[in-house]
Amino acid sequence: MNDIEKELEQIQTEAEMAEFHKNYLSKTGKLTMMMAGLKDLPASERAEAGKRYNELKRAIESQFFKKQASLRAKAVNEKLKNDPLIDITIPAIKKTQGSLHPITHLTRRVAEICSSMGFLVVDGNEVVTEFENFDAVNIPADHPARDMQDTFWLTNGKLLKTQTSALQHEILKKHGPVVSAIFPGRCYRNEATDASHEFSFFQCEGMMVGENISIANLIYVMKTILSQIFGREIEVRLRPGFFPFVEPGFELDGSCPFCGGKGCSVCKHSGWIELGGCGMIHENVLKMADVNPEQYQGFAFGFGLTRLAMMQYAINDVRLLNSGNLEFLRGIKR
Amino acid sequence: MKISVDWLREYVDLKDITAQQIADKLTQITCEVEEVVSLGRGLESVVVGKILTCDAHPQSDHLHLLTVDVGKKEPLHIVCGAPNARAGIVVAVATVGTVMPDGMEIVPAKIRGCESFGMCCSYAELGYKAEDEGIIELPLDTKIGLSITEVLPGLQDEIIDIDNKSLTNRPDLWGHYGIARELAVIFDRPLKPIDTALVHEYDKLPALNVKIEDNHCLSYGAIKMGNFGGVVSPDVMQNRLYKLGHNSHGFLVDLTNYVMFAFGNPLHAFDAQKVDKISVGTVKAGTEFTTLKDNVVTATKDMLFIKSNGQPIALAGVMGGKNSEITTETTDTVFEVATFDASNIRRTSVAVGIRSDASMRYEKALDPELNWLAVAEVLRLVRKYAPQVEVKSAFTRVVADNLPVMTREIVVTKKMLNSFTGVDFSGLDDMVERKLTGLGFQPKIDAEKIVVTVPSWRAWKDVTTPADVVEEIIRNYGYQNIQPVAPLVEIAPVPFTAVAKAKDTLKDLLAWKYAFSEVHTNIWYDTKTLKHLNLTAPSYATVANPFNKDDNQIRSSMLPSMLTVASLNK
Ligand SMILES: [Zn+2]
Repeated sequence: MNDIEKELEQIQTEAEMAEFHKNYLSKTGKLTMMMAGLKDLPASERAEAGKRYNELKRAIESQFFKKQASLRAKAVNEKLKNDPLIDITIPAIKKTQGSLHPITHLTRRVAEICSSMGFLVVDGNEVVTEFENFDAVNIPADHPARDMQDTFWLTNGKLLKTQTSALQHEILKKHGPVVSAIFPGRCYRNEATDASHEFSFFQCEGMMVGENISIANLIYVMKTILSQIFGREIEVRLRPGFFPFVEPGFELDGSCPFCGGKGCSVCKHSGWIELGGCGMIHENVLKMADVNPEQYQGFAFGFGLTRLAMMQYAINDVRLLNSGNLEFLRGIKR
Repeated sequence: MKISVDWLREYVDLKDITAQQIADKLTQITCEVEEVVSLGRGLESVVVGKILTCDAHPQSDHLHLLTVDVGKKEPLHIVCGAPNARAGIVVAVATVGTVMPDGMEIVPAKIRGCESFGMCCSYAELGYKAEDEGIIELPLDTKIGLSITEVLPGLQDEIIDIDNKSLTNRPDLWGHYGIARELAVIFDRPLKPIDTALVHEYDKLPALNVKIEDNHCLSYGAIKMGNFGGVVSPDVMQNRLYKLGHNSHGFLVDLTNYVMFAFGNPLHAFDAQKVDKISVGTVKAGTEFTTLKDNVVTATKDMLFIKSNGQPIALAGVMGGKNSEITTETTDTVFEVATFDASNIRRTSVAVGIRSDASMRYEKALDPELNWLAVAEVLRLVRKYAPQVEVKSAFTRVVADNLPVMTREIVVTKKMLNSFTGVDFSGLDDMVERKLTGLGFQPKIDAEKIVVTVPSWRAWKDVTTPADVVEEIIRNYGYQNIQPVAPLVEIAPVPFTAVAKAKDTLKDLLAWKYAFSEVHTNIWYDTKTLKHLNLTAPSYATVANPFNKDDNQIRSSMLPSMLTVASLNK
């Protein structure tokens, strides 16, 4: 390892870099050959050796790319200094600042907070099956939520997911039974648009399943996540609420982050704002994902990222978010 | 759904509890209250008066000049335009200073040259009921000077408006009695039991010919009564319906609505002359049927109808038919008290585009046992308000042959209760037992477990698992009393996946280095734009039910929407 590192350090030119890549990292390079050799080891040692091999390879690759970048920067600087056609004293053409979508800012913040608390961040599909969107989250065939009118169906029988809960099943199956995950995503509803309704909106769903996960844990986790999102201490309040995939289900209120609970126009002077829904995952949802409800239990929660973005950035018309209006989008600061 | 606090008091003692306290507790423990509206505030200064003299107004052909005794030394001079104003009747006088429900304040006034110191009120002006045939005429022996609020109980009331969505899974809460049961448990007060024994007093009368042909009808009960001619709807009934937003439609219809709002079981009254052999089942698909509100419905093969001699007379659980409707001529009636399959009624209601108070309740999966409470209430009200009515048949009730007996035992271990809630329930057996008993669950509690028998009104679709029972306990314990507890799982930061990182890097690079702006647009092509740009763009998925019928192609190229955004921002 050290020898390889030293070799890399002494390289001065692009040509030498290419040579190094050929010797170690290319298909016939020494490192790649080492990998092939692993399969001859006894099974008991293979996993450990594989792990060490990967660490080594990653370290070398990373140093290789760093070195390459620094060599290139050096080359560009040389060129700038010496090329008679380039005058670095002329000011650059003034570029307009670019921007990321407000939903991106918010999703990143939520993802960072949750991953620091041990939640996997899962990115799911927008087209899902009828089973994933409905049956798997305990919304049976004759449930009102399944009425044709508010779901966008595709001609192939699949649909545009109407709620991020559509990913619960897949995540439980893939990462369960003990899992903590959030899954932000775009959802679709076939309804007329107005200042507070759009065909598509973003939600963030999350769940935590384990052997003893309780309502008291749910309150703790919600309080922690929301306090971090809003950057101040948030009190949470549960009220009875009905969602088919949880039992018991709750409406989740947070103390108003804009007035600290004293009352303002955002919270309609109540000191509380409705933030989403949550509850203990229904045993049918667990069973359908092959999780034994006798042994495992957990909570799920969901809140509207679109609604949150509207509150955070004081946006009064949801349609602006999908308008492509650059003046508006660039005005949003993180 | 609107709930009258005055009506609730009939079933549960709510002394010393304000409407706001009721609303707050319901929201914390049961369902979401949207608002509380006070009715009749400030009407204490409307008093009982007797018209002493009634003269024509010299400047008007329809105004009267009254002197009215309101129990003070001097009678009041009042100018009044009501056609029924006359000497000798006892009326309700809004005295000077009264603010009427519409916001108008009674002040001394000069009306066409004559002074007036008050107003004789109609029921509508007081907000008591919709009917408005001139000023109120009270019984002649009503005590002069008494506040009208003491004479018309129910004039002052509080209406609690509950968000219907929050009652989706609680079929038992679609009437006042169900809400009263919740409040009895919340405030630890007794709930008035409902006696259904009087229904059986008529068991010896001839039965009606009633048959269920389709098991989507879970239960069908009917009872025939005669001699309703001339019965008017009592004020207290009209008042209660009015406060819930319903006008009076005569005694028979009011009675069915009243009992539905009391117990949650919809009822229907048929004109008995237009009903013979009753059967409940489907009709030939394509059959046209006219409802009593003149909607023409085309039957599908699954829609349930109530039929008389095979001819449809009502769209089951949704609305009655024109052909069997109660009219002013009706003297004899057949009351229907039935239960239908929730999904079937919902599908029908959606298909025909009629959402009635009845269909709204049936689609929640009502308890067939409610039939008994409802018919008992009909009999009780008929005896009270229409004593001349003759009951002509037994209450004839048949049930679907596959109707399950809804007794369900559920065991919740204390270990599960504690682990599920994160609350230590040891030492709280008494509280748990009291609350569950009040809700009808007949709990048996020992050191290890709680065994409950789910009451029939909660057993259909509602309480089926141990978690459902835990909910009953924990909501009454109070969610606000649960202390947050950090989960006992290893909390270690999870790194983002390479794909997620790459996506972030790409976005950052584009936005911050190359000044791109990220936009969100619809994921289907806008057909007009494609045409305008003369573009053909590939699509590999089609929306079956697009919002705009031409825009059904899911994009696989971003170019058209990007061009649109660019042109919008040029
Ligand atoms: Zn506020």
